Amino acid sequence: MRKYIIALPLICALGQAAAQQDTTELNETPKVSNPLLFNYASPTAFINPFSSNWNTDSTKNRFEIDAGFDGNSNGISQQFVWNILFGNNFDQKTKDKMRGIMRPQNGYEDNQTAGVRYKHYFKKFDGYFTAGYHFRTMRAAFFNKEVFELLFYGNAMFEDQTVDITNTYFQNLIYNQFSLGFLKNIRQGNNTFSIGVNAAFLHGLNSQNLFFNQSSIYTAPDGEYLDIEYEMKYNQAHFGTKREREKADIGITGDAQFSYQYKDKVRLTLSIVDFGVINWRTQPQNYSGKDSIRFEGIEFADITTLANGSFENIKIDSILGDLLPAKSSSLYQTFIPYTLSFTGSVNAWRDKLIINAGVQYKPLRNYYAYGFVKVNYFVQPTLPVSLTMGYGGYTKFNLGVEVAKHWKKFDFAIGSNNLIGTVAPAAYTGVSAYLRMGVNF
Amino acid sequence: MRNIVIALGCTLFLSMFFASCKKESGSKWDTELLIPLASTSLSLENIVKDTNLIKKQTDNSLLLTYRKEVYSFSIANQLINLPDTFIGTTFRLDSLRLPNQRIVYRTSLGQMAKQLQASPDPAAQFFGNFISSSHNQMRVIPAINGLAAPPTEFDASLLFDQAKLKTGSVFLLVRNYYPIPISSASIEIKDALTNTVILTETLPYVNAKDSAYKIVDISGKSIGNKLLFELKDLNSPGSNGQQVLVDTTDYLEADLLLSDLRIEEATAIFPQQDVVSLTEEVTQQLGERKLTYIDCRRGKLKIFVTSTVQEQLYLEYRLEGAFDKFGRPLVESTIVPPAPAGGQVTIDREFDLAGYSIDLSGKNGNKFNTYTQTIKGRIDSSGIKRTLTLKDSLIIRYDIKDVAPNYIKGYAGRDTFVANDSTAFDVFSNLFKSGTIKLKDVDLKLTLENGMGIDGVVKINDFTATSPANGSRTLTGAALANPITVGRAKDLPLQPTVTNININKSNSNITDVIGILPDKIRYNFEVKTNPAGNNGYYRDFAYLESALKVNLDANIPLSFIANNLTLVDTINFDLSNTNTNINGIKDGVINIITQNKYPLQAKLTMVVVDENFVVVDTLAKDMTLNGAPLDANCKSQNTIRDKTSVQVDEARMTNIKRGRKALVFANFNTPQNNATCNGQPLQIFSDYKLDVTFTARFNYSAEVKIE
Repeated sequence: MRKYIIALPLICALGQAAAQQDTTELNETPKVSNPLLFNYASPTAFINPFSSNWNTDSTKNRFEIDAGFDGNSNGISQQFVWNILFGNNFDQKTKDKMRGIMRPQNGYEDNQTAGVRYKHYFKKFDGYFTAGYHFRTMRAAFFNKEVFELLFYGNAMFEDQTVDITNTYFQNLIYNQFSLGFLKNIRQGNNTFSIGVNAAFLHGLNSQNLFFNQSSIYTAPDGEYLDIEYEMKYNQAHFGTKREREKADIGITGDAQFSYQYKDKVRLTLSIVDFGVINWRTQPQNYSGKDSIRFEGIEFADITTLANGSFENIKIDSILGDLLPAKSSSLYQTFIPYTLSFTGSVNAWRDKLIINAGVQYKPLRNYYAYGFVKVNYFVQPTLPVSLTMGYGGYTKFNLGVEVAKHWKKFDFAIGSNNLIGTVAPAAYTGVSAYLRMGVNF
Repeated sequence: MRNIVIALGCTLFLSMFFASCKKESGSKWDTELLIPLASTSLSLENIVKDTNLIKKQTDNSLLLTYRKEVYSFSIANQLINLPDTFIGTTFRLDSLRLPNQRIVYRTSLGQMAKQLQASPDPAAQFFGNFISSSHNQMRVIPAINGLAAPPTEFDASLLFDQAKLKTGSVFLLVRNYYPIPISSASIEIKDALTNTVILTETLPYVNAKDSAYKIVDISGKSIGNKLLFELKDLNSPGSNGQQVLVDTTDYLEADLLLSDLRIEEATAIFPQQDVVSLTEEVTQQLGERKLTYIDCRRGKLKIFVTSTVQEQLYLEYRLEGAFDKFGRPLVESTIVPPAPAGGQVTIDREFDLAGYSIDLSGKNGNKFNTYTQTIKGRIDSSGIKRTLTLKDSLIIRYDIKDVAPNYIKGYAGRDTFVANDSTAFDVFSNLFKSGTIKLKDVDLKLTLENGMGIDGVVKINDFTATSPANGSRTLTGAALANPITVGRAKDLPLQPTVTNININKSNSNITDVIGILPDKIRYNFEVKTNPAGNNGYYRDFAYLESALKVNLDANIPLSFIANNLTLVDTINFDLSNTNTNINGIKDGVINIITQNKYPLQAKLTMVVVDENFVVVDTLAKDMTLNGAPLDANCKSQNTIRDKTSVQVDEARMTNIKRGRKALVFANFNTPQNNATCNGQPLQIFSDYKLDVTFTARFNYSAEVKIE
């Protein structure tokens, strides 16, 4: 499925791009208000089903292909994330570099989407209905620097020290999303209210969920023992046959948006996206418990038993695994980390300069609000370029750019919310890239 | 511009999506881990291996207890081992008997008158006529002199042909029915063939209508089967001038009963009778032992009978005083067929004595080692004339063999036995190959357990401990000065008596003896039974399993000073199945961390050898373990920590895997670094142990795969 999604936009893009003339002149927006003015307000528009670079006055149908990846961190380089995701190895230099940019407390979250959407505008309804399919991934992690060092350098450096792993958190979600929704405009004079509601059926593909509450590991001098104190919960579900999975792991999310626009001067938008839950029932595995253990190695009754024993297949992982709580197979739920955002947009200068500012929140640990300013400059009414600056959440300072272009029937927008991280993933945290393409007919 | 934008977008797509075709393997990186691998504890029980040897006292101090049967001395095998015995005896027939015979002779007046009328003597003729004519008349009968009756023949050929009487009697009853008395007469019995007078007897005076009785002995007479009976010389005084009724039918009767006819030999139809009845005692020679009773667990009685008796004999053998467990006596019957004339016949029978108890005190209960046998022989009346004589014999041989009692009673005799041997004493020798140990005390008890009902005396002549490394040391002291009296066991039920010889440092040099770490003890015991001789009660007893056991009980408080005590142990050490690269481990350092609570310091060397005991690696060399510190009571309260590190890489691990055994050399010494405790034996308590933890610091390649 994913491969078709991957191939299709490429073919479309190439085809359309080749077929399109430079329609700047043909589709040049008349001097009346540019309907695209406030369409590029949010840096995370690619995950919002209601954001649309679409002039409903001219076409009633729109087919969109969008894809985007937005990763943010205040201390974890994207190189680190890519190495993990793509199975690349970490050499010492890479580790040292990553360690160099880490903060005492490090958060990471990413959001990836790829999919298609169809919209149909009903003039009488003054709104459109939308249906779409998207392949989604969401990851989030929070850990302190010592946890990174423990995992990537080993506990030998923490001899006679305690590593605090409290509040260490990791979540990985992969699912298919099938959505239906609508957006309705309510016009009252110069005021336009828009209400959008979208509901999605989720088909879970993969889930891992790990959380350590009050937990620590102490390594005694010479490794004589390990004192492990933990209160943890871990759930995962990614087993089972494809047929089993298709039936079992299901969820639901909802999106909602409320916006108010005054003429073409100001627009305010409040939205919540991906508010929902998935139930994981296909061969789930759970580990949950609280304990305090002193590990002194495999205990042998006496020294002769030790000498006779075979050390065949000693696995460090399994030695440590024996210390963890027992496994169970109980179904569990994962609440999708929604995105709540509020954006205000102002037509600052003659339909040329739109200044957007907003704040975004996600229910992640130690995630504070993310604030951004996005400045759109319409080089032409159909060619806006944008510059985004953001800070907060799980980010360092983000600097992003975006370019969009509209033709009569085709448009695209491409951009990044974090150009530095995208260009220099090893040296900076976060990465972002997105592409939206639409065909109007 | 447009093309650039499109190209950038495609590139972005490609990099985001096609790059998501992730590798099958996860991300890897090197870490350095420091973790405990294994932990174990070494306690005294591990060293001693047999946990029954270690006992905890009330103050938690440890005691080494050792018990071993040093010697088991059983004289029961000798006491109750009876030699095979055979007895052969010739029995002659006791007696042969003929049935009683009866002869009745009558002569009437009429017969007498006829005989007188036939006499050539005119006086006799006259008297004969007188008698004949006076029938039923009253007459005066004159005196009669020398009257005789013709002989009468008695035929006994149906009963016997001839017989030589050993004994015999004739019971003579004379009845005189004459009207006149008989003053005298004589009776004569002769063998009709040989004319031999068998009996001549004068009758006494018999009044008219009266009788007289007489017993006549005919012992030693030989008689044929035809006898002549004759009445002679009959005299009577007549009727003494009185008239008497003369009845010619009146008679004189002689009733002769031949009885008690025991023959020396005869050819006759013998009646059923016992011909042999004999009770005989047979005494075995058992030296000084005087047994009154035995219980057989096995044995055989074999009887051989040779007979010359020409009649079928029924022989009954009874072993007096022998009963099985059901109380049934040992009685065996056998049939001896008749021997041919002039010949003999032999039979043999075997009887199992297993399970029989036998009284050996003789028929009167006043003997010892004596079997009492009763043999009875009987002939039945076959109705056939047989020739039997008292010279006919039975030769009976009976073998008592392979008799093995499981119990004897009586007087066991006096014996002296010397036990001169050695026994392993491996309490310390299995552990320590060299060095010495100065023990605080040793409480040794020699326990003499006597399971025989026999008094005895034991003398310990020698008790020497030997050690390959430290030579030998002989036990000396007051404990061994005098012989030890060992009481007899009690019976029913069997209760062995126990006599203890306590040996400790106050009465001997036992701590020095054990301190050389012996592997063997050489001993010489002398045991005398019944030293006071026969007390006349004959109540010694012994079971087959009875024995005099000498047990050694040693209680050794584990309080000592160790001086270069060397332990050498070989333990299995086979890591050949272990993966060289243990799941990501490349190389590293193995730390051996000890927490020692024993107040002993040690130097450890551990060498790995292959199956040919060729060294493949030295894991630890002279690894020092310090002794735990002591408090004011010379007791260790805390452990002392030591660490040794061993570098291990892949090549070394490969080498170690060739090993099959590990040789552990440990040298222990009691430290002398505590002014209060120096020179004192240090007590080992139950909470003392040596904890050993193996940790590793190594490079480990971790891998994570996120899907």
